[in-house]
Amino acid sequence: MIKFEFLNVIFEKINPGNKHYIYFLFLFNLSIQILILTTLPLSLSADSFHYLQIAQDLDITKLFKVYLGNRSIGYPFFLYVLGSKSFFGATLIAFVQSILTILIPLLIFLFLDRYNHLIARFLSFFISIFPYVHYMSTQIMSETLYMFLLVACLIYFENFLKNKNVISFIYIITLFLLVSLVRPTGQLFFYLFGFTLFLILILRMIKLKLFIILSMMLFVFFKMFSFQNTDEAKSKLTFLAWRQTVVAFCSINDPLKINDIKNSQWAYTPDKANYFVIKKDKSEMDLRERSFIFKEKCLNIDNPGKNTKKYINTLIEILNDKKDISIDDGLINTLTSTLDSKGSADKKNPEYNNLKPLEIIKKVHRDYVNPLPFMHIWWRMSANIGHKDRNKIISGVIIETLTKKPETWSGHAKTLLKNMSFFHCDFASNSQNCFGPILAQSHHDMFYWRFIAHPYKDLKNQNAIHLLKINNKINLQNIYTLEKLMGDNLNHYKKDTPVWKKVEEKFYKKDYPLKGHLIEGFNLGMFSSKIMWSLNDILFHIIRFVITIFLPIMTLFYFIKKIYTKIKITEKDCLALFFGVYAYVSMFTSVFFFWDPRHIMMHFIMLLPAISIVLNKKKEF
Amino acid sequence: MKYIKNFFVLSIIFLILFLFSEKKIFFQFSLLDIFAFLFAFFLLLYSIINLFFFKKSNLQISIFLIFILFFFQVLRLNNFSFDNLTKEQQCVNRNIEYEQNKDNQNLKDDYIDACKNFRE
Repeated sequence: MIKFEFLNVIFEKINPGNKHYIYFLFLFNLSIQILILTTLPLSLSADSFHYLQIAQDLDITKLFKVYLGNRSIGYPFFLYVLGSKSFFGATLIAFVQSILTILIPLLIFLFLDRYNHLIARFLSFFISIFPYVHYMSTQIMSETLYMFLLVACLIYFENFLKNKNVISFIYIITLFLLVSLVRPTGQLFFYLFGFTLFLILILRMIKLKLFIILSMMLFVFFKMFSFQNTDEAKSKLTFLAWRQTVVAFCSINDPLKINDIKNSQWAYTPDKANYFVIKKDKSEMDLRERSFIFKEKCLNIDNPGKNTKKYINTLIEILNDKKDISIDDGLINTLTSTLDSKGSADKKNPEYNNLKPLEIIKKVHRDYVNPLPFMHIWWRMSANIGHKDRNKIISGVIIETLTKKPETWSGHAKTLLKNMSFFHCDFASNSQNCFGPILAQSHHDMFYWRFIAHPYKDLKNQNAIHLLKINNKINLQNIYTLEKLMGDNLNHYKKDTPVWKKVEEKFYKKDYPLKGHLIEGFNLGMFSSKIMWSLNDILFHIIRFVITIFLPIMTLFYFIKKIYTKIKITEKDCLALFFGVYAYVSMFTSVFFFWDPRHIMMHFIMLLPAISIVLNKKKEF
Repeated sequence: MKYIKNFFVLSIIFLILFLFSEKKIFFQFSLLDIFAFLFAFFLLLYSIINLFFFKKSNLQISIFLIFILFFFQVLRLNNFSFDNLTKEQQCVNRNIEYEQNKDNQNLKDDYIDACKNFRE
C-alpha cells in the first residue's frame, strides 16, 4: 500500500524518546491556534480575493480552462476542494490551515531530531512561537500550505537520499510539483534537483540506468507544472524587473544639465508620497528630496537607444489604435487620467489635454515615480501585441538601460541591503521597526479593512467589483469577524472617508498606547494584530541575524574545518546545501524585486537543516 | 477508556456553549469565545507543565482536541446571522446580492430598503 508507505516515512521517526515532546508541540501549537482564532478575524487581502476568484471559476470538468493570471493552480484548487464555492465558505479552509500550522513545528522536530535532539527541540519551539506561522492560518493566503509542503519536502528528500530508489523519488518529486503548483517559486526545486541527480551520478551513488529513469520522470513532472504555468506567470520576473527599472533614478552626467540645475532656484524631485516627480524650490526641500536634485530617470526617453525606440514606437501604435481608444480601460484613457487607490483610471488629467502620443509617453515617464502607469503599459502591450513580443521589447529596454546605466538597480540594492541588515533596527521608534516602515503590508493583512466596501457608495462607483466575484458566504464571514473584533469602534463608516482610513486612524496616532485599543471600545483585532506584529518583529530580527551573519560565517567555518580535517561531505550536508540554496535564492529574488518580509519568513524553514548542522558539535558533522 | 468521562464532560460543555453561542454577552463575543480563549490559555499552561512534570501523551486526547478545534472553527465562522452585521454592512451585502442577480425584484427591494439611509 503506497499511501501507507508514504505516511510511514513520517511515522517511523516517532519513538519513545521523542513522543513526549511531539505531544507537547501538538498541545502548545493547538492552544496557540485557538488563542489566535479568538483574537484575529478571517482576513481577506488583495491576494486572497484573487485566489478566491480563481477558485470560484474552477470546475472539476474544466480544470485547465480557468484563467489563472499570474498564479499557479495549486492554492485555488485547495480552496475549491475545501468548499470555497459552497455553503461552507471559508470554514473548512480555516480548519485545515489550522491543522497544517500545528503540524509544521511537529514535522520540523521529527525531521531535525535525527540531527540533534536538543537542537531539534529548540528550533521546533522557535517555529512554534513564531507569530507569522500562526497568524497566516487566519488568512486566505497560500503561505500555510506552502510552508507545510516545504517541511514535508525536507522529510521526503532525506528519505530519497537514504533509499535512492524510484518509489522514494516519486514521493519527493510529487511534493516538489505540489510546492511549485502552490507557489511558482517552487519550480526552482526542479532545476536544483536535476543538478543534484547529476551530482549523485558523478559520485557514483546511483547507476546510469536509474539516473536516466529518474531524469525522465523529473522532466515529466516539470512538464506537468509548465502545462498550467501561464504566460503571465512565466514573465513575472521580467515584469518585476520592468517595474524597478522604469522608476529608477540615476545620476546626471551631462555637465550642462548639472550647471543649469546649480544655477536654478528649483529642481525636480519625487514628492513625499513617492508618487510624482515635482518641481520644487530648493530651499524648501528636505534631505531626501535634495538627494534627487542631480538625478533623472535612468530610462532615457528623450535620447532613446535602439530598443527603447522600438518600445516607444509600439506604444505610439497602441495609443493611436482606434480599438484601444474606444474602450474604457484603453491605454490612452488610463495614461491621461489620474489613478484611483486601486490603480484604475479615475478622472481626466487636464495636464494631458491635446498632447500627442509621443508627448504623452514622455510626460508619463518623466512625471511618475509610482510604477502604476507602467504596469498598465505592460498589461496593454500584452493585450495588443501578445506576451512574447511584449517580453522581447521590454527585456530589450531593461537590458539597454542597465548596460547604459549600471547604477539603475543600485539604489534599490542599497535599500534591500539596508532592509536586510541586522544593524538596521530601531525598537524604540514608533514609526520605524525592523521591517522598515511600520506600515508593512503583512501587519495590515491580519486585520485587513482596505477592501471592505463603503456603504455610502454603490459597489460599481467604488470599484469594489472584487466582492461580486467570490462566494458571498466568505464575504459575510470576513466582515462579521472583522466587525466583531472591532468591539465598540463601529463608527468608522463615514460618508466622505474610506472605511479603512477611519479604522486605521488610531493605528497611526503617534504615542497611542497599545492598551488604548482595548480600553477605548475593546478593539481586540487591532490590539492582537499589534502584539503579533511586535513579537514577530523581534523574532524576525533574530532571523535576519541568522540569515545575513550567523549562517554564512558558520557555514564557511564548517566547510573549512571539513576540508582541513579531511572529513567526507555527508548526505546531511547535501540536504542542508540543497534547501539552503533554495531558501537563499528564493528569498533574495523575491526581496530584490519587491521588498516584503513575508518571503524571508516563509523560506526561513528551509534553512533549519543548515542551522542544525552548524550548531551541532558531535563528531559526525 | 479512562478518558471517556472527561470527553463526555467537555462535549457537554461545548454543546451547552453551542446552544447559547447565539447570545452575545460582551459586544459581539459569546460565552463560547470566552470559554475557548480560557480553554486555550489553560491548555497552553498544561502543555508546558506536562512536558516537565507529568510527561504523559495520549492519542485519544489529541484526536478529541482536533475535534474541538474543528468545532470552534465552525462556530467562529458560522455562528452569526445577517442581523449581527452593522446596518452599513447589511446595505453593502444587499448590494452584492442584487448585483449578482439583477433580475430578482425581491433582491432589488431588499437592497433599496437596506440602503435607504445611506444612499440617495
